[in-house]
Amino acid sequence: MKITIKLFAMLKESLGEEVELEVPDPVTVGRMLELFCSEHPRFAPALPSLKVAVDHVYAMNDEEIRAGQEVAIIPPVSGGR
Amino acid sequence: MNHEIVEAPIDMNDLLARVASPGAGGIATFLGVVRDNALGRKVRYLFYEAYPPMAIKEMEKLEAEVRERWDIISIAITHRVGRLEIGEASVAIAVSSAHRKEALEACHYTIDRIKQTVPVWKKEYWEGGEVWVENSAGSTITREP
Repeated sequence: MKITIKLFAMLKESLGEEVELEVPDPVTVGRMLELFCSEHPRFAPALPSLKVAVDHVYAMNDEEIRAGQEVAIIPPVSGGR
Repeated sequence: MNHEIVEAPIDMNDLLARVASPGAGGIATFLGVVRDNALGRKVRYLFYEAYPPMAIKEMEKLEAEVRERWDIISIAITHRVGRLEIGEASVAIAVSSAHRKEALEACHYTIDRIKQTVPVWKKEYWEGGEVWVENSAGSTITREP
């Protein structure tokens, strides 16, 4: 299936607000992130710091993404000390 | 709605009104403002970006966390996005409670947690460069391997 992924911060700056990605159906969050990073290898080093939100909730790597859900990659959120 | 993401300048009086209650004996507030330096660099301005629907949801979860720990009356959180100049407020919190201790502790806890869980990103523009800033405290959201 083809999913649309919302992007933010440095990801959005490089790739735009959204990207489409072809993934198996079903696909887990962790697998989707790996596929995203192989498609966009310059973000592969950042993979351990990337989180995923499905329908506005942080998702674990073993959770499955279903068609129609809102998927977003969440880079490290910012803050001061 | 007691929590919000806004583009317009933050007015603390608006937050005070949102947490006002006849039963309140104290209101604690925090205002995060744009500082003119970071890691020895002279900051020109900041740019904040959010994922608004998720940010609001995370703020509501944070309120639930706070209410588990402290007996507060009300809490209001506002985060601003867009370009912010030196001295402008990026985030504001107000907490009301019957007695001061709960409001003060809950307010401190809230600002620390906002920076860990709420999807808001900050880009620093300084003399001769720019960078997306990561939380120095790191995140407490864990992903399974």
